[in-house]
Amino acid sequence: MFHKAKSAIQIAALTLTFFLPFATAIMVENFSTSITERGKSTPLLFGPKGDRFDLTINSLFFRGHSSSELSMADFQLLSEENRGIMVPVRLGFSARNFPIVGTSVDYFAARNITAKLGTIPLMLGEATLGNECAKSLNAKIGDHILTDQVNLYDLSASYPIKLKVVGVLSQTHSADDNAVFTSMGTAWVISGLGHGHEPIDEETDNTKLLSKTKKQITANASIEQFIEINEGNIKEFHFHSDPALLPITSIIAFPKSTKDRTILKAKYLRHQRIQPLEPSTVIGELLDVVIRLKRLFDSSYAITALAAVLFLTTVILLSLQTRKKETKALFLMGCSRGTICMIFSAEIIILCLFSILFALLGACAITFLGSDILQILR
Amino acid sequence: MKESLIQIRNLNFRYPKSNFSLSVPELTIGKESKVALIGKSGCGKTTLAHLIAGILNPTEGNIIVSGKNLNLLTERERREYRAANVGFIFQEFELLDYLQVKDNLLLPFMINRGIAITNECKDKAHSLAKSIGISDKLNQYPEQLSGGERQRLAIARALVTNPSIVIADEPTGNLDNETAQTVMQEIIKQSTETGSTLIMITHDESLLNLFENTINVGDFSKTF
Repeated sequence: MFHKAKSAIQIAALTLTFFLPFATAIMVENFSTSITERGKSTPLLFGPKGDRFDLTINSLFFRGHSSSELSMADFQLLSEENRGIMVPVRLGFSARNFPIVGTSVDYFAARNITAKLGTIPLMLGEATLGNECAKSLNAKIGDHILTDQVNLYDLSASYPIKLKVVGVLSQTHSADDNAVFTSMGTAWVISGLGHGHEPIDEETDNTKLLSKTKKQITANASIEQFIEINEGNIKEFHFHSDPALLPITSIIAFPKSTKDRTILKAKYLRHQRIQPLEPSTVIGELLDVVIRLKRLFDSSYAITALAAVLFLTTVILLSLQTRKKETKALFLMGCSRGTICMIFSAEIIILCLFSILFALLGACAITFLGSDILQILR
Repeated sequence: MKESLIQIRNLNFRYPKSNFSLSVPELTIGKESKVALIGKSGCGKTTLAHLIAGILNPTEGNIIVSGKNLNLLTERERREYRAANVGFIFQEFELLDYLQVKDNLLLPFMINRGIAITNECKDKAHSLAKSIGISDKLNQYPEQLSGGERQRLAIARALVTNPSIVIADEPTGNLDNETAQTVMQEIIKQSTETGSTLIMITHDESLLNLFENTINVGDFSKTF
């Protein structure tokens, strides 16, 4: 029992010593691969002037918030260049804590994402869920999900909208798996730029009106706002602002060729509002910081490992001291010094091998279980 | 007169950097005899036993066991000789508590790469375990045995290779007189069954009646 407990403690100590660098290396590797792939699959990104890291992370991984926005006019401007597929992206809202991505159908074609079940979102009020999101919410086609209230105490804020699930995307192992996709129109409705309410006309009850003239009828707050877009009320949804001024977070560009990419980038380098970014470059810069941090951790682990080895050596020496009689008995019985050394070395080697094995298993497990950590930037 | 097994001629032994020396002009120990080495502490009982076992090499003189002069053997050959021909019973048994009883019994075979663990070895271990009454505990660990069983296991381990010499280094040192007699009788009984010569180091004069010969090692040693 004593020997088993002693070995278990030694294995546990060694496992921890080996585990930390293994786990960090694997996680950093997975993290790097994951975000690098996303960067490579996004050739060019256009967004408002500002922090390039924020814009990249926001547009590619749907995390964080962008402080300023572009407009549909900017999207129109880029589209008219005719140098590739331009995909508008509208972010900033969520449903059941999953980010809502308002985009066009081109997004799915350009990223080669297909619907595993149902369809991609085409109509106002429709939502298609990323694979992991659907699993997590246990949502099926035909179900509804409510968008999250942005600020519970803001009475003037837009109502949560009930979205109808029309599809589930195939797994992509990217941030798309954990997002709720809608059309651009739906995204604008969610942000309160578009809305639907009961018809206001000559026959509307006066109690629901603020003012009524021959030219204009103005309703008061008692007018019923629709929180769900369906076939019966879809015609009542409208936008009050100029369509060209409707906001978008960024524009993902898939240029026709390298030449088109270079021209597009060069043309907008000195633009007043729009900044062009190559996400792979931005992610590379971001990874540099991560790698530098990893090096810092590595040196810390090296010192910890050295301390652990010194402790282990002390334990082994003390163990040898307490087993002196055993060693002597073995020698007297005819065991060579070499064999005695081999017996003790084998013990240490077995301990180390088990520790490395457990550390690797632990590192793999933590990578698997800790995929949520990686999701932060997916 | 028994046929001689161990012959010592003009033996001189001195530890390096020590003022102790052991001189044995002539000593013969017969086959299957039971000999007690007695003498005061530090007189060289263990040293003489270790010389006979080939653990120590004499400074001068010869130790001949079964016609083999131990002085002429290399260290490796002496080790092999020891593993094959000498069984040890220690005062505190020195059983390996992380090995099962059966593995403790087979330990003398395991540690000597010259001796393969054949079925014959296993059978021998089994029959010894049976004769000392622990055959039903072969898969247990020494700590699960009683004190008496541990003693018997230690005796069996010393005899498992059918050694021509068994050296017992004060195996009854920590026991009361009655138990010591019982243990000693068990050692003598088992070593007689295996036809081994028993050399027992002891301080206990009450046990001497069990031995055919008694050698006072103090007569051979001197401190200067």
